[in-house]
Amino acid sequence: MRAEDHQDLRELLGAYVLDQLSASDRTAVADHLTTCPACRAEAAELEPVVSALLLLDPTASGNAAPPPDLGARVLQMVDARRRTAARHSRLRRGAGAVLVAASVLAAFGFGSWFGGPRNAPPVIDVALNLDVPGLTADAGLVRHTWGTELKLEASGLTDGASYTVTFVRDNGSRVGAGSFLGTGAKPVRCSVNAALPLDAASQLVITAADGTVVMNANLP
Amino acid sequence: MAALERLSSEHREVIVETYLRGRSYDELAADSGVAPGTLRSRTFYALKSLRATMREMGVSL
Repeated sequence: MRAEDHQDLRELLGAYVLDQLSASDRTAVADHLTTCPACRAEAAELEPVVSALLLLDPTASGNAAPPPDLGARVLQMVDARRRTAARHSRLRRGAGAVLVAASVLAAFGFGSWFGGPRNAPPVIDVALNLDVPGLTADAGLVRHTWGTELKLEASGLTDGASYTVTFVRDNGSRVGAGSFLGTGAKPVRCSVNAALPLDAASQLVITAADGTVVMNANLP
Repeated sequence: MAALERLSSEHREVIVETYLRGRSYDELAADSGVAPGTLRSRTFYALKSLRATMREMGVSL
């Protein structure tokens, strides 16, 4: 095997342990693992990280605190995965597993990233810059546990034309929030969502199909 | 947010988007302009980095 093939397969190990590979890539990695002890060791090192990630459920909104059965669930999972490496006492393994999960929650900022207000969150007004003559629009943002929602009401957008909503982060990277159709003089009311926390969004841009910016706003 | 920042934003994003949100690498590639292959290797380094972070936080793995 050439060194670069090994490196390519090694770098697939992350997607492999997360079960994200196509059947052919998965087979290629699995075959490689049978002959490469170094990659086997790396894959084994990632296993406890995956066990802890399994506990993160992004849809569990408002779950700022770990669920009461967290300890039992982690124990079960880690136990299943590490049965072969049962060198530690039961107690130590259990305590370690809970720490693993807790640290991943912390590493992902579970409280602030997935947490947030439990009840219907307030709509935060957004000052839109409107770049098209005859266009009127109102917008509000809602901070969700899973990301950011934009509520938009606009009239004066071309009837039947497609518009795209994008959030921009501080570093310039973009997160798509979806698209909607203009309804001419009749006001369009829509709600689109993006997978980024409101605090991470620095700008909101709404573009026409040809890329022209029709509305934008700087976010606090 | 301090703990969240312990992973680089690129590492955090690839894990959150592909694993926690279940988006495909192709989809994320189309959005971010980063090649799917690069994103897959980023996942590998993100998991390694997460492991290192957990160790720094005193977790025995």
